[in-house]
Amino acid sequence: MFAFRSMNTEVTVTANDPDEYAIAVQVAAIFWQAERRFSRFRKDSELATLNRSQGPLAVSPELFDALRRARHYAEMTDGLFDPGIGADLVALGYDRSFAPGALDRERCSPSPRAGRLYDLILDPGTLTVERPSDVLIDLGGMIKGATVDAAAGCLRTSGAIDAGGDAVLRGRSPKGEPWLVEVEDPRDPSKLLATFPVSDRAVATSAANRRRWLVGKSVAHHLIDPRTRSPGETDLLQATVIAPTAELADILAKTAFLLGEEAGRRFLGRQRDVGAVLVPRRGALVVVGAVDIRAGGHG
Amino acid sequence: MTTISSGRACVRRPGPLSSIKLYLTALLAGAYLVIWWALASRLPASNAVPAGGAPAPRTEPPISGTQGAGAAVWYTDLPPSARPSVELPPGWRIANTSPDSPAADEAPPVPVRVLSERNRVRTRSS
Repeated sequence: MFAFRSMNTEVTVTANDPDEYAIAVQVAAIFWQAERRFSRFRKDSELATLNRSQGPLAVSPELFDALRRARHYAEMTDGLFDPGIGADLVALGYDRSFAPGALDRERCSPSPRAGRLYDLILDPGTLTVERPSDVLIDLGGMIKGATVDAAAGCLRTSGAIDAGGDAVLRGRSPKGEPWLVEVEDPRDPSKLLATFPVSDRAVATSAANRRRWLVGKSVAHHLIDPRTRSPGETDLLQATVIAPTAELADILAKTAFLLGEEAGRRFLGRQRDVGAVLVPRRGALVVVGAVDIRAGGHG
Repeated sequence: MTTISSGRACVRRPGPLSSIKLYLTALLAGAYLVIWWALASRLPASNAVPAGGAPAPRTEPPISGTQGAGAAVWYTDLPPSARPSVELPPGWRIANTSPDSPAADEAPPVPVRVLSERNRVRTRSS
């Protein structure tokens, strides 16, 4: 197994392949390119250029396609997934790469006008994007999932690409057994709540326990509910989704977290080929779809 | 345990000779700057040579966007037929045209081998 840091998280590459290191190098290059293009925090990224642009901007096919997919997911989730709320994140203080304590502040900035992804004008003929000034795009989780999916294309046989919990698991592990996914306890990350076997699928988890910071005496986190334009608060502590791709798993996990237990369970139940493990604030784990839950225990 | 080192205990105090040296140095430096500035301002602007001897880039009127004021595009995003001609000064060359090339700035991260259970992946919010 090889590891490197990218997108402010640790990425691990496991490949059942004599060229495991060469594969890890390819994967690192894919992450590096994606971060340089899509980071909201790098001034020289293409996304940052779009977020500064006034008037129509010709963008790369990669960025245009990402925005088109984001719009599709926004429609699929009735607007709960909305990467156009970047200005709300900035107003809350999430204006730089996250590190514990780095975003703490006494008060948040005044709320900007509500910006939505729908307000972007996408012209597929010329690959131009026109951005109203109040729409700041944050493609963070979606791009991390998409990059994990792209990196999984480097696996010639079985293996796993894991970017801080967004993972694609191909075939069987080097031990010849199914991959085991461990679900972390959001109340105590040193503990596990459950494990389940996965093969040829992707997983992603959304919770508010890690990327959080202080605004005065209250706690803010990165999962903004576009309906309230503030950090989402529901009866769920965490949502883990198993889906055909990491990009889809990431978006579904985020949406389920913002919907809460009941609505989240119904929403996920309507998706094809998707399973989930939801962690409510109170009560037992909620399993959606065919997930072979095994024992939890200490991590 | 913290160890505090005394370092150099003996500190020399500057004498009157040191002050005179300092004044002389400042005076000479000031005179040099005044002479250099006077000579440089006599040169016509067109003959000015940037530091290092490199030729100055040719200045062109700003290219106006076709999409109205404020429109901006990357040069490489324009179709080849719509790209304005750019003439490099003699001796200059384009080091990199691809934003995806590792030569553009820093290199990709280098993976390192880690020891871990090779059949488990922990999922969490990140």
